Amino acid sequence: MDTLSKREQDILLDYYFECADQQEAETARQLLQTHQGAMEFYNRLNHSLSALEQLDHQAHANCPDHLVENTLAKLYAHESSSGPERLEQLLQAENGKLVTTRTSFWRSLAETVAVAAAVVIFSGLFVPVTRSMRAHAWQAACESNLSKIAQGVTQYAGDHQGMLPAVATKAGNPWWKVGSTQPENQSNTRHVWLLVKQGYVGPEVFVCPGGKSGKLIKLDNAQIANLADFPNRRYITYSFKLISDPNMALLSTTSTALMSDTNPIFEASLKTPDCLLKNELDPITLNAAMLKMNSSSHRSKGQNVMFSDGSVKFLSGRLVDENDDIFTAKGQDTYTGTETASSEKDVFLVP
Amino acid sequence: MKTNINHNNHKAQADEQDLLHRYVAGDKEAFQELVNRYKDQLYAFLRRFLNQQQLVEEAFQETFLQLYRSRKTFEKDRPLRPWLFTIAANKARDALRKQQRQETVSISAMAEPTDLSIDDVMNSLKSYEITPYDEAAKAEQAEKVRQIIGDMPANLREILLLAYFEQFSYKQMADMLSIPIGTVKSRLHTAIVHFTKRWKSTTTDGNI
Repeated sequence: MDTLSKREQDILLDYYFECADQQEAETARQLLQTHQGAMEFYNRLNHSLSALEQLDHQAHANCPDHLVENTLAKLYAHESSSGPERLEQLLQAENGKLVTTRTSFWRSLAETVAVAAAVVIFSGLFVPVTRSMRAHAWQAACESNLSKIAQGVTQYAGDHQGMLPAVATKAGNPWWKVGSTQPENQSNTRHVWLLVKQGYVGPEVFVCPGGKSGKLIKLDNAQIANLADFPNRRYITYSFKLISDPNMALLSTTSTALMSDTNPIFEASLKTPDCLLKNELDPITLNAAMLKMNSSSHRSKGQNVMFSDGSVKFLSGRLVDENDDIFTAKGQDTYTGTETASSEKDVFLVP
Repeated sequence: MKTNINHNNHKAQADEQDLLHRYVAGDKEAFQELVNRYKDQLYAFLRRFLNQQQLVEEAFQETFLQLYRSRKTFEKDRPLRPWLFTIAANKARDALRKQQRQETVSISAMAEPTDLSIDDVMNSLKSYEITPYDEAAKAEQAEKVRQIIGDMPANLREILLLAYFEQFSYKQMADMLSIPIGTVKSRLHTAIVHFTKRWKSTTTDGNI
């Protein structure tokens, strides 16, 4: 790794935490573009700290409704029955209360009754937001993202003789190297990046709200102009129709699948930043479980799929026209990240 | 686009100012709206900080109790979010101290910046750990991260969570924690090194 000075490290650190001033942010961006060590430092920092995202694993990220209801019930119930002086006493008692690891039977009973009462009292005030409802909301937001991207694709095709966004590439390129700065490594996401770079769609719509991308640094116009691809996989959680020959990348007049939530087969392999150091993915051989997996973005219940006619549908399975699996290439059982679709009609959404 | 964002930010700030004025005047609906607006952020912060449901719920309730109690003295033009997180962090630290007294076990002593170098730690990361594929391995990894965070000194844990998840500026964190900006930076630096070293040792032990 090229050596970075202490000051350069501090600037990158400030930039990572979005605490850099304008001048420092500009210095950081220049370092990231020109200094191999800076990019390595930033990636390592990001990779180490992104482990913090695991704190939310299998936990309810949102506040349970009963807790809010209980909190408000405690405040208002006491206030309305006993007046402000009593409330003050209760508040002081609340603050002076020792934390205990076990509650008594009577306390538990009293709290249970209080919660039950609070649920009745406040059911008219609060809209119950269940986990399932949140999942549906994320699904709808994801659908909206894909609809916006579909509009961008249609507008792009209208401006480019009916062609899909596509950069120069060739069959056999590693389509999974999202964010690679090497010119010969044409990730399949570079095609879609054109929509961002040329102003058809904002970068934020490429992240499904149902996924776990964690904190992302907002890209400004200067960064977008200088990048040839999404910075890394966290900035694009969708998979796009594999383009192996840009000359053949026409926006189909019939309805074919163009984009979907993350292809689950390659998801795990692409979460390791050091994968960019390799030329090929460690071989992935399909098994029965992999052939049934849905994208993880929506609790593995299915995936939103965007079609070339601009429509977006949530599919509980992976098969489209004539049993075509959108996440695999026909006749291909082992993948190293350089495969191509068997034909133009074979839908293969990657990475 | 930027204009719209600024416009939206200003609008959100204006909405919040209106809510705060109404809350100070004793409007319960405004108070409930403030609770609804911040409940998820605060809950997530406390859950990461305390990782024990009972402590999380008590600190959550006490934070909003304090907000409610402070309505007569609250400065209406002060931004609410940093103030709420300051209270929540205090409540979380209190909860840890109370637990420490009860269990008579040193859970998280305070730690001040050391001469550890980020560069050293970053250089030691010759390879990245493999992200586990199956759910069981993910759960195991998550538990290890929780353990590392749980074992961190409270002041390092606090600043790491405030900076990483809540994205407060150095200035805001300095105000919230009543420490100079230089101390914020060095403490955050130490927290990163602390976390990274332990995370690295966990992953290189072959446990994941």
